[in-house]
Amino acid sequence: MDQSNNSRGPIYLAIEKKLTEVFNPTHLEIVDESHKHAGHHAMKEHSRQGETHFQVTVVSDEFENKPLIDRHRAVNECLAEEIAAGVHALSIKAKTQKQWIKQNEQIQT
Amino acid sequence: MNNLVQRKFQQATLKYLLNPQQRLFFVHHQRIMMPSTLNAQLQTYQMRFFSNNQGHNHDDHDHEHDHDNSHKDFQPKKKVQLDETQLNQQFKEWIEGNDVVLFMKGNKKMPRCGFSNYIVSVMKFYGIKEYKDVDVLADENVREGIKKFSNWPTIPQLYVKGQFIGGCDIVKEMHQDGSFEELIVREGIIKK
Repeated sequence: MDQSNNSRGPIYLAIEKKLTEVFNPTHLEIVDESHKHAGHHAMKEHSRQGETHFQVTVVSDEFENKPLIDRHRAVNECLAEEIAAGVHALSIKAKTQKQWIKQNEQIQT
Repeated sequence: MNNLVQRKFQQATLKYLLNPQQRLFFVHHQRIMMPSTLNAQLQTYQMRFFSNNQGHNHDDHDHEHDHDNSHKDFQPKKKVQLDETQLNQQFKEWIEGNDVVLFMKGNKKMPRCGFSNYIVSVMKFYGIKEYKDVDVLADENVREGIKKFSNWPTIPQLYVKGQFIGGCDIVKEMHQDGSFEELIVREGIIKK
């Protein structure tokens, strides 16, 4: 399982824990992009710890035969608490294992 | 009270009893609100006026920390609380009355957020010019209401032929894998 970020705050860890428990992913990437939005009002006031912008990639067989919107809804619902608590932007990639392998093959070729 | 007198009374109320922000609200919403609703709203404001001798409702003013998550320039402009049923009715009218509706920050001519801008760019890419853009920054009720209505926590939100498509990530992925083009061709939004 990949976590492509070294600084892991409480929200990062909560996201990691919940996504792992709910989706049992074969691959999980969480990127805290909050530093890119350091000038934003949200960063200065809304969230003291500055964890406001995240990008998550979840690869799981739980997504098999589910339309894209349902996958995203499932991730949003899983992280509803974090969104309400001050995650200002959450970018989601939700793929099945087959899609993930296919995508990586395309990148390599 | 006959219609003419009632109309004069409403105009007088708008002119003298309401503060500028409330007046702006009524001028803006007169077209979409039923007269009975408008009367009810006016009565509420009149009662407030007579009870405190001020044409002001503290809820209507912008407060420094009303929206901690956005800069003052980007904060929703309207603070008058609209009934959820009215709002949902308005959303339904927009969604059912237009083939494509984009709830976004800013408008299609001037998006005020990168994610909204991305969807506008996708629209341009496919040559979709005729679509309804709703600026959620102009009205706090719309901004929060559409999230509840769609059961989707973020803006932008795209609807095609009454169907909720999703936000920026979904449109991006659909654009990349070709399914967005399939959808808009199938729904008759564009011809291939």
